[in-house]
Amino acid sequence: MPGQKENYFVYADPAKCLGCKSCELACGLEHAKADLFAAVLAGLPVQPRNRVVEAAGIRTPIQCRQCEEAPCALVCPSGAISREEGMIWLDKRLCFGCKSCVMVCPFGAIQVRDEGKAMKCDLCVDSPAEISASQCACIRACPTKAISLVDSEELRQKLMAARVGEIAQARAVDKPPAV
Amino acid sequence: MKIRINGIDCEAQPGEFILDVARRNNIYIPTLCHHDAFAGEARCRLCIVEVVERGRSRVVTSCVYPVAGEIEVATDTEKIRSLRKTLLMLLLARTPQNETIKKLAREYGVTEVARFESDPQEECILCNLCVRACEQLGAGAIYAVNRGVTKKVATLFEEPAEECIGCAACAAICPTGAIKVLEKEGKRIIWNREFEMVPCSNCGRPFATAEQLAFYRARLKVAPDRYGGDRLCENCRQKRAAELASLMSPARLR
Repeated sequence: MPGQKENYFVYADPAKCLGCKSCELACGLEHAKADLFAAVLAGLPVQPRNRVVEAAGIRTPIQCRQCEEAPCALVCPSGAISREEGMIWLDKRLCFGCKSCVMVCPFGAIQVRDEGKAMKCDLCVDSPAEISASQCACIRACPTKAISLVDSEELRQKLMAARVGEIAQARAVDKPPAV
Repeated sequence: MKIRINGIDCEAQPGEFILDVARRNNIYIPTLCHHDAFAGEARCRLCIVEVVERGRSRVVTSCVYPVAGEIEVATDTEKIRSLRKTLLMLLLARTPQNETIKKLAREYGVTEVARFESDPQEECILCNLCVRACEQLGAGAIYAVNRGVTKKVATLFEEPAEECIGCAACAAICPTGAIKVLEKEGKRIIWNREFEMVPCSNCGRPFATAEQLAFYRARLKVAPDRYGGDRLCENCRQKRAAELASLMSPARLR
């Protein structure tokens, strides 16, 4: 939608990530609505929405990137996934666990487990209006402050600046300045 | 408006169904055929409750009974328990070997059914959730066929259905686990049709049927080679995302 706020998403810096999985635990407990002892004693399911992945020497938690043109929202047959102001919203009530979103997520960030409903990073908010870094359990739990809440608009500008810098540098190396 | 369920005051909108109001207030009503994503159809009838309205008490199916006035609801009275017991006895007569039904029946004191002959293979209670899930998904491969005692869920003429994409959403939503999915040696068998599974291009694990991938590609309106991700299993897509994560690292962006 034009004029709509671009999405926020949770991102972890692989350079700072230890792979300690504190974020996974924090996420699982946040969504179980319990602390660790209560969850263990009551046998509550602790199901994180993120997962620490190791690939090619990189360790980082992977969670929903809140894509602008979200494939999950496009294929969801029941309208449970939709684009809201600042995030991709999952309405659990409407989900019937068909796994269409799981099949198309480019990041493998959606799962359907025992409950039979899709699970993805919901930025730890009950409504898109509440989005803030202090809400996110994983950000609070990360011991090395590797995880942050990223504003897509800002990120894109920074990415463009970085790319311009890299191209400029490459050109400068390729062509020695004319004498 | 306010309604009282088991003596607890609950806020309800006019037209809202009793079951939805109860669930929102964490009041347990047993159901088999109900799913949040679909409107109630009152098929299993386990959600019956007693409603007292204008001094008269009656038994209604809470998943399709809209709140119209200030009513008093009781979900677990002696009368309701006895009626549910009868319902479960009939369900158990239909599906004598099904674990879900057996467990629920035991809770209501039904252990065996002597009055009816039953088919030990039968596990379906005709709740229709699979049919609705398949229809909602857009495949529409299964239907309730026949009438009366021969009614059952099947594909058209019980032939392997062309419309079926082998996604197994029907099996996932089935409350009794009646729909069988067999997965072995890179094949998935469901509704009498054998699907060839597509192996993940990275790890080789069979993760989806070719029909599923084609179905979602058509939904997304993308060229087969775009994203590339549709040949990767979920785990390998996560790995690729991790590899790409350094592109956004603060060290590069500064």
